[in-house]
Amino acid sequence: MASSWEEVKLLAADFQRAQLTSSIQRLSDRNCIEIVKKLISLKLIDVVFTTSGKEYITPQHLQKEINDELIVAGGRIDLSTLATTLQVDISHIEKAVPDVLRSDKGTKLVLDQLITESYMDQLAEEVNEKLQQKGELSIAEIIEAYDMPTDSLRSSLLSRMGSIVKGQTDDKEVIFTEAFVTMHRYRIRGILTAVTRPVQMSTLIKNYALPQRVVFNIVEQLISQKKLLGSLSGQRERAIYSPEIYSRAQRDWVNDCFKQNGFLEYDALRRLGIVDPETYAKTILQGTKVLFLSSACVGERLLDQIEASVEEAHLTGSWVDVVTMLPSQLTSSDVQQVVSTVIGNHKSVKDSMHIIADSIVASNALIESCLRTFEPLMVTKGEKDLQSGVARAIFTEKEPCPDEGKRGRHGDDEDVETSKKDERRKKAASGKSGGGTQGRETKTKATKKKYGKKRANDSDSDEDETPRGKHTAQVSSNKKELVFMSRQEIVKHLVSLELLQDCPDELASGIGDFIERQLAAKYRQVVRSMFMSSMNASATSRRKTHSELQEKITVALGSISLYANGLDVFDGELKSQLSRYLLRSLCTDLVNSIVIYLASEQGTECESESLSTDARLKLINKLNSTPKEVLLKIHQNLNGGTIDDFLATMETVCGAGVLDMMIRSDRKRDRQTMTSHKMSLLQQLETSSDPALTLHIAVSILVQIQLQRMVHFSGKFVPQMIAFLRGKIEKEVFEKLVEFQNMVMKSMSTEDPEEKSRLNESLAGDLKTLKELVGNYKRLSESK
Amino acid sequence: MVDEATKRTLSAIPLLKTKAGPRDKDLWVPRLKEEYQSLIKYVENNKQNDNDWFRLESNKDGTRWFGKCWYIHELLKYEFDIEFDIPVTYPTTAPEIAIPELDGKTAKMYRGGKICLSDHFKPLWARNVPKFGIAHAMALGLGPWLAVEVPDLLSKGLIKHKECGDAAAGSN
Repeated sequence: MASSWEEVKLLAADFQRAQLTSSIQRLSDRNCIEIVKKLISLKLIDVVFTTSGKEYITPQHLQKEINDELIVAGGRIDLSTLATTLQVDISHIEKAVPDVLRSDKGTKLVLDQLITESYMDQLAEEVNEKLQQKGELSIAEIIEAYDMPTDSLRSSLLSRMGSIVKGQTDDKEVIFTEAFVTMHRYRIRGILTAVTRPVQMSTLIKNYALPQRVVFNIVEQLISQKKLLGSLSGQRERAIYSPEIYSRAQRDWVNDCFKQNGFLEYDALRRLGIVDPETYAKTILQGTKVLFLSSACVGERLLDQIEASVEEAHLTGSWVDVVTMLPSQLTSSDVQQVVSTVIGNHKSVKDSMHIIADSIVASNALIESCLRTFEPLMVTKGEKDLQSGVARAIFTEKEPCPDEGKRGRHGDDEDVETSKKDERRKKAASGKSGGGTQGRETKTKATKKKYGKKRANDSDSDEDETPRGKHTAQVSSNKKELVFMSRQEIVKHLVSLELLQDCPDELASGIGDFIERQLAAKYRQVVRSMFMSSMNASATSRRKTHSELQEKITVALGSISLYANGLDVFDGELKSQLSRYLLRSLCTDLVNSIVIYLASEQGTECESESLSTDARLKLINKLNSTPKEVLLKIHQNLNGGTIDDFLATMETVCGAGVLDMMIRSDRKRDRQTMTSHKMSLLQQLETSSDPALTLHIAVSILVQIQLQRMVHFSGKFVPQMIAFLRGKIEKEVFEKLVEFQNMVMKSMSTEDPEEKSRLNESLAGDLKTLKELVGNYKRLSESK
Repeated sequence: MVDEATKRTLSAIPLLKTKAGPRDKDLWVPRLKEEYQSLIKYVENNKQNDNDWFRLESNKDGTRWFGKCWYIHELLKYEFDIEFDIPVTYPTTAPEIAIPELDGKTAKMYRGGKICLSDHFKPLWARNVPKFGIAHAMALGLGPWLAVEVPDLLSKGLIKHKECGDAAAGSN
């Protein structure tokens, strides 16, 4: 029983104990999270959430875990792997990593990977193992195998070079072992010793599978150690190894060649494998006098030869084609250069020799003589031009044209221009290759020459291109030009010359080019002097004609005014008819002679003395404005005005600005005129044998004597005049006149030849009586 | 009916076997042992579930029990002394648990601070004689009563926190 109570006591004690044991503070997840959140927000604790959300870890713990993981992973671990294995967000890892790095100096963060020093050591060991196997290992290969960034890998490998990695490197790209290098050194030495001519290193490398990176170092070493006799030239990839024996042979060949030929062609050098022939030639031919051209260099001997022949040409006054003396491989520009140098060096011929068509040297004397052959041609051509009035047209133009020579060339200006353009294009296209390889020089020579020539043309025309453009504009407005000969003609003439027989065409055309301008200028001079002399001659004659004309006009005007005076006697129809006749005959003649004079004065020649109305009008229209107006007016007067109008206009015609003449009328002269007119009429009467004419003259005399005035009328007016005389002269005379008139009429109207001869006989008989009657006629006084 | 949580708690408390009261001299001891064992289990269960809410001890013969119980409301711990005697008719009659300091403050209380148990309690107890013991009375009687009455009393302002809430929590 007691034991039972003991047991109860024990149980009671147990109960108390059970009650007093602190209760397990079971917190729900929810609460827990709340509490932790609270704590974090109060900054009482610092924890890191795991990605599962079930755990918190402190940063210290995280760091420790990272370290652990790193060790487990063998010294290299990815941050993302860390994040997944530790179930922590990567951002926390990233935050923790710097601390890890700080705590362990050997650890590095490379491309989001934690890498320890020991890992690198291990890596280096592996690399070393591989290197020992292969002999050569490139960093790139290692990178590929280990997937590490180049820089860090390279730096860590290089730092272990010699310690863990038993090898060496020259450019930090490839690691290789000493054994490897040595092996290749011997291989290379063997290969290059066997080489007898230049080889491209790249082909060697390819053929013998040499490690490209090491090769050049080795070769350079070997050369500098004199274990290889030769030289390495060019950049890495295109480097060429030329063995000593070869370059020696080459130099000997070049020297021999130069000594033999007197020149060196760069192409030939190039064919020998010399990359820069010019500098090579310069070094080889040091000390000798050599002319370096674009495609070759020419030695003194050749130059001397050329010089001698040029001199000879100079002395004999002929020409020499340098091309024939130079090697055919030279380009035309080179030839030109040679020629200019030779001439430039030689002072005595410098001024008297001309380079034509690039390569031909012609002496001044030759050109002079060529020019001389043109002189007779010039004179004939000049005369022709003068006659045709071309020269006159040109010289009377006031516009000064200083360089007629240029104009002469404008005939073929256009094709020169286009060809120049072409040529420029070609120049641009072939610009670089121009000085380059010209293997088949002989074939292209012909065309080359032509270009060269054009270039020569350029040289004098290029610089004044713009002014010439202006000239073209001027010339186009100025249709007539003084052309002596076209270039083709000049060249043709030159070719036909005896002097230039057997010469190449280029020379002829070259000389043609050369002298064309001179010729044109000279021709202009010749024509000018010819023109001037002819002008002088004509000036005096002109003065003479002027005074002659004045005289003529004075006389004509005098008689016209007298005739006009005579018209006053008549009236009505007869008067107007007579006046019209007067205008048509005498006045028209007068005006015609004036117009012709003025026209010739102003350069329009007119052969015929008598002009139709239209022809006259045409001539008048060609005149200058002042005479033109006045003459037009007088022209109208002629066609339907009165005599008085005509006379009035005539005064202005003679006045200033048109004829510049002083026409005076004076009474004494009038009387003289009348008397002389009468005398001439009487004389005519004496000599005349034709009945109609005699009648006409007789009537004229009678009218003048009776009226004391001059009347100008044609045969048509004779019957009217006779009628007019009725009652004014003695009846006897009048009857005789009428009788005679009737007979004349009859003889003119009859068809019968017998009748006609009969009438003519009687007329001839009457003619004498009529003549006597009229000759002795005295004026019948009006009063009777 | 009692709520699910109570039911679950109740089912976790080991049932008793001996039907004996304090008067039954010999049989009371095993009964008391069973009581203790059941209480220990209950307390352990409570602690396990973070639901420790009382302290009990008895006199030497296990007839009179006293201790304290507490209720946490709105993060404040309200603690009350409890006491009760084992009735002579025990286990047929359920013990009447009293909270003297709340005497007169609530209607659901008999004179002397004995709590007025729900209508369900008595038939339930009656049905389970002698399987139910003190632990069951506590879980089925006092626990729900506190859960109902303390908030009510607090809202009526009849009880106040003793200013030593923190101290009480600290003594925990």
